[in-house]
Amino acid sequence: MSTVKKILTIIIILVALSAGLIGFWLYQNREIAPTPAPNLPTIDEFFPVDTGENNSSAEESLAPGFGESLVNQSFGQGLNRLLDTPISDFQLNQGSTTSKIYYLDKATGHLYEKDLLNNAATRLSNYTAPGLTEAKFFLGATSTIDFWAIKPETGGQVLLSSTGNIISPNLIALASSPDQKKVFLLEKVGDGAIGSVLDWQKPENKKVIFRAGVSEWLVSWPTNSSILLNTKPAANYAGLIYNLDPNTGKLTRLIGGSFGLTGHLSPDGTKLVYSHNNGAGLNLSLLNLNTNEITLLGIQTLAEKCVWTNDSKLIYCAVPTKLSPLPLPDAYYRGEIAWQDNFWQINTDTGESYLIFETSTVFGLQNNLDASRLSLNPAENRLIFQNRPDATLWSLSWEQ
Amino acid sequence: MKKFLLSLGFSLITLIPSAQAQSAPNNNFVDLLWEARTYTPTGYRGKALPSSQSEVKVVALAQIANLAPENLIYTWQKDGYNLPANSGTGKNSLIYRAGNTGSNAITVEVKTPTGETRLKQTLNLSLVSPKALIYPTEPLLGPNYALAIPDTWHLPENTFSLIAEPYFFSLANLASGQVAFSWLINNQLATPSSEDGRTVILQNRSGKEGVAPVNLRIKNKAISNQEAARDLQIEFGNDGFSFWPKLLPVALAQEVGGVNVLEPGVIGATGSTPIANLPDYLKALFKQAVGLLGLFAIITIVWKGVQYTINPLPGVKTDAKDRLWEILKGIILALAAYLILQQINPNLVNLNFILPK
Repeated sequence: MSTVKKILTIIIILVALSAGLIGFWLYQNREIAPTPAPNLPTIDEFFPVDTGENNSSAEESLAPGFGESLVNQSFGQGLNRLLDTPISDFQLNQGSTTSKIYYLDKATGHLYEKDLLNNAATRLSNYTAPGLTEAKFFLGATSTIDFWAIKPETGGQVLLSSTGNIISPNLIALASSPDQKKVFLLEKVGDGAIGSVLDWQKPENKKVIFRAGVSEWLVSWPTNSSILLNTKPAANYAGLIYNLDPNTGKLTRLIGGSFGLTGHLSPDGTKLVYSHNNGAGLNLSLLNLNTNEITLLGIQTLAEKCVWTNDSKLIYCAVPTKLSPLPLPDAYYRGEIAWQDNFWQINTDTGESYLIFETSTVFGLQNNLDASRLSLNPAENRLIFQNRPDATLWSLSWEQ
Repeated sequence: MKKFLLSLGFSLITLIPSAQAQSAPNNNFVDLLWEARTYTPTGYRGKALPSSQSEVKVVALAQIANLAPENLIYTWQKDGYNLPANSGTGKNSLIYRAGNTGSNAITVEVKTPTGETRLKQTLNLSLVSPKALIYPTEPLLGPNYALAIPDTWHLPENTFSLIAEPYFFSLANLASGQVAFSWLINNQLATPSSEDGRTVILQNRSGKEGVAPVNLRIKNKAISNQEAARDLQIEFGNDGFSFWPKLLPVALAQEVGGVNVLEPGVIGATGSTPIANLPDYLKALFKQAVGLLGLFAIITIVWKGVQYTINPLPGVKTDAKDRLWEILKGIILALAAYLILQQINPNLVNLNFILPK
């Protein structure tokens, strides 16, 4: 046989082998249509879209309390599971150099202090309140850490102190000021809402700064002069984001008209990163509040899965590897889908994007890693987050 | 730590300012805020959506010329018709009942008492169908709303509670007990563990393997269009990996002390549907078998191809060549048969093992 014939034969075999393997793979995965993500011609290879019919991700996720009994389990490459039991909420000790973290155990409501680098955890509270869903932490009267937490009840939410006192019987939402000295309470009154600012130490001294005829709001307090009020998002309905001045009560509309709208303001208050549904999936955009320019960031995720650095230049985002054609973010909020996230760093000044962590490279990660409540450590080289499906606590660190 | 520089030439392109803000920070504005008085679970981050005949409240949030909202004049319209009773000075909200289907257009015009400044805003609200979802729930942790139970689910423990959530049913009807929940396990009514019928406890006492078809039906007795269903297959007792799909015995649930005890292997029992998952099982089996045959064909092509290329013996070469042709002909024949059958009638290739009743 001539050399040309041999080469041709080898090429044919390789083509047949490749075609066969691709065919087999496509056949086995034929419910997952690898449609390129729209509007992302540059990096869409990282964001394929599935059909949503494959619920394997949700099937594979464990319900809370059913993980193996492991604490501080390392998966390599800087990824660690810090706790294997569900938690209600957590906060990094931002002023400390000792890598401390505070968290509430979801089954008991007890407050714990834990070192990020080892298994030691110290219980700091005694009042038992199972099933808390969210908490804000602050320095108490004796300069020790204290918290208020949200407990779901039939038909609403109750805000409890760490000793079980009811702070608010009709809470809608809660936000802590950046210096953690004040809190913004949004409470249901009649069929509307009232927003008040108060000191942690003197909860009886409420200063009402906001009234609305509707009660569906998401709130955050990103800068000393900005409380962000976000109408609850829905895929097929336009949302609005307002800035509420906590000192004057002045309301300013920041953006509106986008479907599925949620936003996240930078610490200097000049940039709003927001996610919206353009009919073909979620898109992350940046609104420069000084120039009113909007920039598409080329990332498909929810704004609440991002965290700003202190200098308001970078955001770190957990970005789903696949989005669903189900209405977003509704289907995600309802738990109909769970995401597998990669982690990206985006420079909002230059547009440079870095994939800092790819989950598929991790060996031994059996369930989804669907990050929520992302928080950065003071050195800004470690993300702490909760895994949404099982509410466990995770850490991801990287070299800078 | 893996670190990819993707930016240069990639995402820099995307940072070209795409537009001015749709609605830049503005001192004079009127926005229409709204909420449907329909149910969502406590703490749900998404919006409660309007469904058939649900009540909707619309509020005009206006900031005009630094005037207090109660001093502004509001003129409301619904679907093009003026609503004089709802319009006037300080009347900044509208409550209406949605129709059975379709959408409603709500318009408000807000003006100052002098009429110098007028702003108009319109809102189109489409109705959605109510939705029934089921979540795992535990006494201490509560429901896990991050994990709605998918179509097929494996019971993680021998005893487990499920809770039904009636998304977008009218709040008033839920509160007055007019929304009914019914659970069926293998076509038999299951026993709820809560008074409102939203929670059931499933238990696998024997530890044997089985599958339980679970059907949830939610119906608003006051509004005929408000109903939703959710159908699941809950597997229990088998948590090991199996290459071939398993044919699990169907379970009936027998109420024992408020708990639905799943008893597998009750084929033929009154009211049961023996081997309800047989069609799915056969489909899965067929899919797996076709996949394996494809894999086998690829391995054979490679093997014979290598033999044909490397082996110097003419007999072996001829045999390998013949075998390669046979495989190729087989594949072409199978594809052609599939295409022809599909052209004649797509149902001929649509595997459906369910016999007509």
